Amino acid sequence: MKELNDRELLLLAYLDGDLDAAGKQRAEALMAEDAAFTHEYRLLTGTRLEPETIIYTDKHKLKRTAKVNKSPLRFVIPATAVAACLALLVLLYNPGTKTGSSATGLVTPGDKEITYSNAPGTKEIAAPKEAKIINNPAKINTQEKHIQTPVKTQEPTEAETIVDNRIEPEMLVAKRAEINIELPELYTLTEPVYTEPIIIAAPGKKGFREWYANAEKKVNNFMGYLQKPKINIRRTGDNGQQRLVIRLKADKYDVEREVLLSVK
Amino acid sequence: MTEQQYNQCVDLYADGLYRFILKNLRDEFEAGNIVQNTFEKLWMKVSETRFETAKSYLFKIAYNNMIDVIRQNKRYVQIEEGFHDEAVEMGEYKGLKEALNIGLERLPEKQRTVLLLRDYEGYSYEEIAEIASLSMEQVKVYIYRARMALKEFIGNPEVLL
Repeated sequence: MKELNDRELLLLAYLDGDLDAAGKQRAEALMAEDAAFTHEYRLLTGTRLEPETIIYTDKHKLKRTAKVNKSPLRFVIPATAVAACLALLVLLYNPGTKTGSSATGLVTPGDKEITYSNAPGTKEIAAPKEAKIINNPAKINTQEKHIQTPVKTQEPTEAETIVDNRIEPEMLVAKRAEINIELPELYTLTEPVYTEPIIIAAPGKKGFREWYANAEKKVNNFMGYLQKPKINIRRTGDNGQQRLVIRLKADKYDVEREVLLSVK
Repeated sequence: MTEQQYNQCVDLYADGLYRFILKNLRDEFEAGNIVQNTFEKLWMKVSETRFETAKSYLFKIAYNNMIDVIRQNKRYVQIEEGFHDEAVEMGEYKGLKEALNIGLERLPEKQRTVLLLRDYEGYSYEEIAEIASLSMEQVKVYIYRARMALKEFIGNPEVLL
């Protein structure tokens, strides 16, 4: 790549306001004595782009909140784990015994007293004062049932349904869209087959891009009878809908059709 | 960067990022996808990214993503460019601003990118070099060539009709 000479560098930096005081003085001096430099500078000032105001309307979708697990199920897994541990510990500490009626507590690790069953052959000993009752498995199971019930029967709200139905490119995989192009202006040239919908099945995992290339190819074939047709396919979409804007230009024809993609 | 700063980045930079990609690709849907992917990547690295450097990070990610899309859609882009050539021949636009926009679309991708980063986003040559993975000298050459090309383009009297 050919580098810029000093004059070009000075002109560019002056134009972009990228000069220090000395550089600026040098550029202004050159402008005063060199009409060509001044002319060039004036022409180039017209090439400065004014930023357009373009708003990205889906900003709210980008926003994040800290992941706070508000699911009712958040208690179920820990509670089940605790219940399982308790059951295991009871089983380990009291092999071959039936659950007694008087001792349902559990000592914490480090406690010396471990027997609190009234099974035959064992001596019933009162739980030591320092022993702590951690939890009652029966209560946990009750909680679990209570929490799970509404989850199973919960219907998605309208808002959630909309989110779930967003048409993302990858979600078009293995789905089909129909493109029906009707060009009344060309009826005299077409055969009936050309008015039929073009069915485009999305190929494998590569998804929309591959699907899109295929669509373009089929449209090209569709228009193949024309001399040097130019097909311009633009994909656009908002509010979860995707459209293809297909522009055909051939001979004297310049037709644009916007086709809503129906996802099946 | 905190979650609050991340959301601040969305407010501050999402529009600019979208505009930058849209101006290059001229595809609203694709531009929206790239913006979403870019912020997704930022969120994944939110704890490792400083708020002060987030803007450059976002533009760099978006730029790389855009280059991938351009490569994948090369044929499609070429077809579109053909149309724009004809639009120019037909002189379908009016005014300096529109002429500049059309001229901008006709610029080679690298020239267009660096010029947009310079004029729209106000990045320094050094920052542009970092975002577009170019040397400072290359950035200057591209900007200079882009300005010269636009100058030639708007200098055509037919364009200004």
